[in-house]
Amino acid sequence: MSRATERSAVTGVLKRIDSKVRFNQVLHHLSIATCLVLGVLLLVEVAPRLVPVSVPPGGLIVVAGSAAFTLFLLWSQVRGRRLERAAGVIDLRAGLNDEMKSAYWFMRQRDSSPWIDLLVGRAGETARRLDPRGLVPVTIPKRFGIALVLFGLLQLMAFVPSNGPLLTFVAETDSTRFERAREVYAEELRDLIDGEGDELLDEDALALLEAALEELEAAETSFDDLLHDLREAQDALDEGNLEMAATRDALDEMASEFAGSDELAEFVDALMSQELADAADLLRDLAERLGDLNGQELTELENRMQEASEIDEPVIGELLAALEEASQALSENRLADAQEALDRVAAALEEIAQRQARQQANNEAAEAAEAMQEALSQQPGGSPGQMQVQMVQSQNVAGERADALTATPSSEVTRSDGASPGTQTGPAGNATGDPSGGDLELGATTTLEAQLALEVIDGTAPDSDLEELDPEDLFQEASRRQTSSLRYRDVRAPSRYSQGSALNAERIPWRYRSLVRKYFLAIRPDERK
Amino acid sequence: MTITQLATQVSDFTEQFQKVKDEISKVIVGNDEIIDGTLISLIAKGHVLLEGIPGIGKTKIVATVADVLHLTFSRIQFTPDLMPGDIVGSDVVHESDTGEKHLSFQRGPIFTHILLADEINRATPKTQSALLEAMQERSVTVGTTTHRLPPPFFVLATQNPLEMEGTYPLPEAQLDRFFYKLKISYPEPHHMHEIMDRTTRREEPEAEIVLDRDQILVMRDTARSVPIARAVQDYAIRLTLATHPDTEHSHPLTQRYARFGASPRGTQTLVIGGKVSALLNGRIHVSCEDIRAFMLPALRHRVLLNFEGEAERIDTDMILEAIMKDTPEPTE
Repeated sequence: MSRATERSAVTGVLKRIDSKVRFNQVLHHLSIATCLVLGVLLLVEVAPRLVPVSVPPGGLIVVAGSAAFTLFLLWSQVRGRRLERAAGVIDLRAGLNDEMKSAYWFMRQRDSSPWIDLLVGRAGETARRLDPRGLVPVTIPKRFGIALVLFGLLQLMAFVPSNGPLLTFVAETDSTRFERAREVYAEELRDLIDGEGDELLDEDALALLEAALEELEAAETSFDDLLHDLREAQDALDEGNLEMAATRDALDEMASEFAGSDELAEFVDALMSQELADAADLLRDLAERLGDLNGQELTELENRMQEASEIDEPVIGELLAALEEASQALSENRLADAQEALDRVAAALEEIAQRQARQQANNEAAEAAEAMQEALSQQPGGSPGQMQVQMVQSQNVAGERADALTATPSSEVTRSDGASPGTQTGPAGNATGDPSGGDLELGATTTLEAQLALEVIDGTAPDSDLEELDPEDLFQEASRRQTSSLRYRDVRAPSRYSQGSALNAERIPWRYRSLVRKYFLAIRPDERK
Repeated sequence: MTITQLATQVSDFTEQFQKVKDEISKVIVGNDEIIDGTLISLIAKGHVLLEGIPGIGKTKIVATVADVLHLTFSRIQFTPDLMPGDIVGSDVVHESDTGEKHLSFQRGPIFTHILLADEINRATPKTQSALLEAMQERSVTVGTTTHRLPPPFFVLATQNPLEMEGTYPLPEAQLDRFFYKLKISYPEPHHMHEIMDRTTRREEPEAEIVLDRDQILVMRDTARSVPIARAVQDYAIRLTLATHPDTEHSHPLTQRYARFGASPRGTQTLVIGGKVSALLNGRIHVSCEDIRAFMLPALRHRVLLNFEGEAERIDTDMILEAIMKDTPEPTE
């Protein structure tokens, strides 16, 4: 046979094989495209039933998928025949040991030699023996089975009723976090108010806490405002502690005056141990037993009462006055009046006992409020609304800078004293400013609330010329003596927050943790020393 | 040359090769791979390094090959005191009948067709170099005169892997001169019976001459004419590059255990060996299977292990087998 005949035999087989390979590839890609489109359609059908998402219409997906597949098909067909690939397929499937690949490569080189002619001739003979249909049969991809299953599922979905999404996934935004925290604090405040009881709480503090709770429930406050309210409430709750301390000191002094008397020994013990209700009962017993006492005992009792009533403690003034009346009545041998006066002393003791119980409750409430303050201090910021205000304020600053360029200040800053919040009002500035001094585009009026830390000056003002000293000079004088201090409570919360943020923020990568731990273990002081 | 003549030449090649092999098999039992490798090297103008323990027939194989090929054969037993002149020859003083004295070149044992360099690693590097230079250049130079070695010049060197004391291992550059490194293993039990039957009788089998020098030279030309497609050649190149630790084709095992990979001479070996293999399989084109067929003897001495490979006693054959397994054949 001629060389051309052999070559055409080889080329003819390669073309037939290439066509079959291409057809199988089209089926392969069609199966993938069908699975993809059906899968997406199924997802579009199922997803809205599970989660609240908006999905494109199914028709659009089918059209888009078909268009993409058609474009891919056109591109793959216009790439031209790839007979090298067909030669590779023949070699692989017919086990020809690279005969077709070699023959086709040398055919393309257009070289001619007896060796190449012999090679092509042998390849031609082999090609004639080949059965392209058997070598590359039409293969239906298994993916069509998957597509069939997907199609069935899609049809089944039409019979499943949809009652809206089963699951609701909402990303936690700043506002939701704030809302969750707000509910937690409202619950804590509610517990604080309800748990301690209306009767025992300080009325001012109670009013403050109730107002804060009301604002928190109505979402009309920020964490910073809540912190402020809690501090005020705690201050109010703490106010009674000083008076109670003075009362305790006065009662101790009074007890010391009664010490030594046999008749009043138990009464003194009750006073010293702050068991005021018991002390009141003992005093009432004594009043009933006054008639049984002899003259000497009465005289001693009168003297003790007289000495006790002379102590200078205004916080128990009512008690001391009744005690003096009792002493006076005993001296004039008016036992009935003395009994009545002692009953009044007992009543005064009971009232002090009640006040102490109330203050105890106040202190517990103050501790709870303090704990809430610490928790609040670690909150990253105020409410979302407040955050918006801060953004507008930053624009104000930019606007002020622009105003400064034109030397026309548009806002006035007023610094308030530490105790009361000051306000600053001004227009919302144009962030870009207007150096030419043209009309500014003003936004809504905003309010800046500032809370300065409360500073307590414990300094002693000079005795002389007190009237002449300017308040600022008085402050400077106290500062120079270094007696000015901030309340520990005001300092502690921020410091604790700093510690907490440092511990939480300074994260050590896992791979270095062991190293860091070893380092600190190595530098740890020896505990045995 | 017509296609018919060529086809005849190809069939003659296969026939003659088989005839030689059959004749050798009369004497040598088993070791088909060794016989094939030796004959392919001869046809491919290469040299062979035979490695094996003593007493398993290395020398016998070489001697038998020489017997069946009707070629001159020399054997040099390499020893530490062997000098280069003992191999290549030297100028000696001759006195004529008239009393005139003149220098004449006395040829050494290297002037032969088949040279058995027995226990080549026992000679000093200087002596080894003299042989290896002749292997490469196929000529020896003594004084100012270069003497061509008669074609075909075929060296079969043997070395014993057990005894390392008092030996001079061949440098890597010189190992590269060997076309194949063939490892002769201990015979199988059934082969042992055959060896006993053949060698313990009164008459031992003898091989006859079946091929002469000219036929061998024709076979050499035939083998080198076999065409190889670019894709198959590319496969051979990729296999070679995979033995290098620092190329894009590097195999993971090579990266870990190899210091250097095979040189381009290694690829030449793969291709020429593949051509002979193709002819032996009745094909006139080289296939990937032909390239793989003798990859182990072609490259095992060309891959140099690094310290880790040496420490873990990695066999280069293991690396090459992994490369063969993991390097994909061309698809088009």
